[in-house]
Amino acid sequence: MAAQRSLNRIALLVMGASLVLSPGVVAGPARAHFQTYPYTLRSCPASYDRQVDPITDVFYANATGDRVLNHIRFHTGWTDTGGSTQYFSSEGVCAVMYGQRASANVSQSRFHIRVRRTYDDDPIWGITARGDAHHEDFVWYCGHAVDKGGGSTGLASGFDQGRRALFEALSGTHTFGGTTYWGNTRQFKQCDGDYAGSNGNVNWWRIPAWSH
Amino acid sequence: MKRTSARSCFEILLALLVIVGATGCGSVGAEEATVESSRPQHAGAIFRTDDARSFKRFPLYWLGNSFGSLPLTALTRRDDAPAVAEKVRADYVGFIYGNCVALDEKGCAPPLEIQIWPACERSRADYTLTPSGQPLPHRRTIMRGVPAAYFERGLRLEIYTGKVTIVIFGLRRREVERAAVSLRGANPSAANTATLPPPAPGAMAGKLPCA
Repeated sequence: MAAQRSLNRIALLVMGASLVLSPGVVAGPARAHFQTYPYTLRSCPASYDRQVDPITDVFYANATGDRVLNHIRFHTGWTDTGGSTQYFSSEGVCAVMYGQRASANVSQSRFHIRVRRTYDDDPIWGITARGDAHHEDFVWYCGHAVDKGGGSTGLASGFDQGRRALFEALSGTHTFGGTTYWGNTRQFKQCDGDYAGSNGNVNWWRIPAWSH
Repeated sequence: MKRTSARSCFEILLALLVIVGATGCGSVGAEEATVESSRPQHAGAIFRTDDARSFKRFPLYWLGNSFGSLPLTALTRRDDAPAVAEKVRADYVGFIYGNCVALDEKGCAPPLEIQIWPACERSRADYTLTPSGQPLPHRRTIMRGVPAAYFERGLRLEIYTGKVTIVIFGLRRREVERAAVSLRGANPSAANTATLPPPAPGAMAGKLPCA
């Protein structure tokens, strides 16, 4: 009993420290607005050298991690759940992704997205989540590499292909909230030596309160 | 150098052995053939330093063949077709300095990158955080006599000059600023003065037409 009380006290102390350290929490959920780090991360905390993928899509209204993955799976047919773990950060709070969906398994070229709910809800946009949709090639000597942009061929990068694949899959069945421009266009070196980057657009999709 | 090459060979061999072990010898060749045949964008044209020097569409700025200890490791060119519903198309020349180690499903950010976009395609007026118009967090400043803005916690600096938007991504804010001060023209239409040309009329408002 005494040990349990000590544990509870430690938990409260840790929680208190977290509240002091995260500005979003100090502001309070009622006044919080949508905020996110614009890239996924290899590990926490968020920093330049840990960035991996640009955020390409935001889901809103009722976008719990579970519901977002459910709707993506239903409308895209991306059923595979294999892939590496990445992290998301918002309001200064960095945490592991909620889950991922892909159009093929880990030893094939495929569309792929990781998702995590944003730390605070937004008074206008409700429960929000972010995703890093992309197309990645399976390269035999190193694994998955996101497609580079097409040089003078004019073809889109893997990140832009991923956003557009979701656009096609969700259009007509989900309310499209619009496109915002974040300019998160940094290019990332891939394991095959190519460089891939988003064009900086972020699409917003409404997720209803129900699941399929 | 020899040690690096030997290590790279070893890593490739190791990766190959792991893949062969995981998928079976017969499927490796099939995967490779699929990758080559189904992803034509890997055959895209390469953009070289000479291409940058003779580039005529808009002024280009760079840091030369190296910046401090960082060598120029890649030049990239994106000139995508517009897509439905997307506000901005990729249209830029990128100069990448330094290297990093990318792994399976884990790309890495090179230490420094300069992207030059036409201002008619990308300007400060394009940014919003949400579709309801909440502004994308940034801090405005003046750099080399022209409007500029810091984004992404100061690790992305945008300089608005003439008919281009110069975007600098860096590992540290001090390095980003040092890069901004050191930028020089890569093609004849770019300025080589300490003070850069002011933004073209309409550029800051996002109303500069693309010729």
